Amino acid sequence: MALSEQLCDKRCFVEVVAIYLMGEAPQRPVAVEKDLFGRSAFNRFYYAAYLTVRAALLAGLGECPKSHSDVPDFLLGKVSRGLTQGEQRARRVSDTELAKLCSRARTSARELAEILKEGYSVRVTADYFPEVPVIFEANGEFGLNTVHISKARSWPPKADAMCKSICIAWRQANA
Amino acid sequence: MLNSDELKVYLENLGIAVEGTIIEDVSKASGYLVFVTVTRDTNNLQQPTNRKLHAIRNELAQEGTHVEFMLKNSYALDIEAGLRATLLHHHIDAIRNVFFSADKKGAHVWIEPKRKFTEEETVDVTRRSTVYLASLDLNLVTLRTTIDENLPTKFVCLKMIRQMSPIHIESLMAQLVAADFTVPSVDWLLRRIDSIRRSGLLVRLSNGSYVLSLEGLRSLGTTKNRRSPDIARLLALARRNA
Repeated sequence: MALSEQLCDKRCFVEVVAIYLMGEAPQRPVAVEKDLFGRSAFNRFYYAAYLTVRAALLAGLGECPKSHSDVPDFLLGKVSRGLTQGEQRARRVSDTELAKLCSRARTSARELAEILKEGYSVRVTADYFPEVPVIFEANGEFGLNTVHISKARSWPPKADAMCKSICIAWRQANA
Repeated sequence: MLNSDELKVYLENLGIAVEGTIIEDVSKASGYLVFVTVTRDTNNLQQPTNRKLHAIRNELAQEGTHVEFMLKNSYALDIEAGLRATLLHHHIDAIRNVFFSADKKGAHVWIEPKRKFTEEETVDVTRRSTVYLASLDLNLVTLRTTIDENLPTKFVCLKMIRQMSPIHIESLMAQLVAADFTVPSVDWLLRRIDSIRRSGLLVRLSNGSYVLSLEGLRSLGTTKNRRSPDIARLLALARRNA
C-alpha cells in the first residue's frame, strides 16, 4: 500500500479517536481527567488534519515536508508559486477555467497554511503546557487557549476540502 | 530576548489584542506562538493589518524574539456556523459540510457535497449564500464545491495534443483516460477540441487528426529544463513507436 494511502487510513482512525475523546472529556468524573481527555482531543484533531494534508500532498504533488512546522511554509512558498505559474500558463492559452482553478487553489493553500499553523500551536499548548487549562462550558463543550473544540473538529474536513482544491488544480496545471 | 509576559505587554502597547496564553514554540529556540484577535473595519479591511503584524514580527526578530501570530476571527466562525446551518437546513440530502473564509475581496464559500448538485440546487445554494452573506454586509466572491471532478481542461488537451500530434480524437481520449482524466464521451471531447480549434490554437488536418497551430505553440510556450515539452514529445513518440 502506498504511503499516501496508509496515511489516509490512519487519518480516519485518528479522527475517530479525536471524536471519542471530545465526547468523553466532559463525561469524566475527575477534573484532571477531563483536562487530559480534552487536550488529547485537540492533539488528535490536529494530527488528523496533518495526516490528511500529508497524504494529499504526497499523492497529488509527490512531496511533502516531514517536519510539521515546515508544511505551512511549503504551502505558502513552493505550492503557491507553482499555482501562480499554472495560472499564468493557463491565461496564455485563454483557459479561464484552469486559471480560476489555480487562483482558488492558491486561496486554499493560504487557508490551509493558517489551519495548520493554528492546529500546531494548539497541539504544542496541549502537549507541552499543562499549566494552560482546558476550559469547560456548562453545555459540556470546551476550549484550550481560546480555541474552541468545535473549531478543532472542523480542521480535518476543512483540510480535506482545501487539499482537494489544491491537488486538482496542480494536476491540471502540471499534466 | 523578551519573556512571554514582556512580549504580551510589548504587543498590547502597540495595540495588538493578545488572546489566551502566549506559548513557547518547542520547535524553535526563542520562538513564541501568539493568538491575536482580528476584526474587519467598515471598509472590510482586517485590523490589525497583516502589514502591521509583519512589521512587528520583523522588529521583534531583530531583537532575537521570534513570533508566529495565529489570527483569531471569531466573527468568521459565527458566520460559518450560521451559513452551514442555513444551507444544511435546506439541502441536507445534498450537502455534507460548509466552510467559509473572508479576505479583502469578500467572502469565499466551500461546499462539500454528498453528490453532484443539480442545476437548480446550485442556483438555490448560491442564492441562499448570497442573501445570508449580504445580511452581514459581505459580498459572495466565490462559491465552490469540493467534488473530485477531473475533467481535462483546455490547457491539458493542448499539452496532450502537442506531445502526441498528429492525433485523432479517439487516441486523444485514450491518452487522457490513461493519464487518469475523466472524459465523459468522445462527443464531449470533440466539442471541447472544436472550441479550441475555433479560437485558432489548433488545426484539424484533412485526415481528421489534430495538431497545434503556430499560435497554439507560441501560447503554450516552452522551457529549457527537464520539463521541456520537446523532451516530453520525444519520449512520447518513442513510446508510441516502441
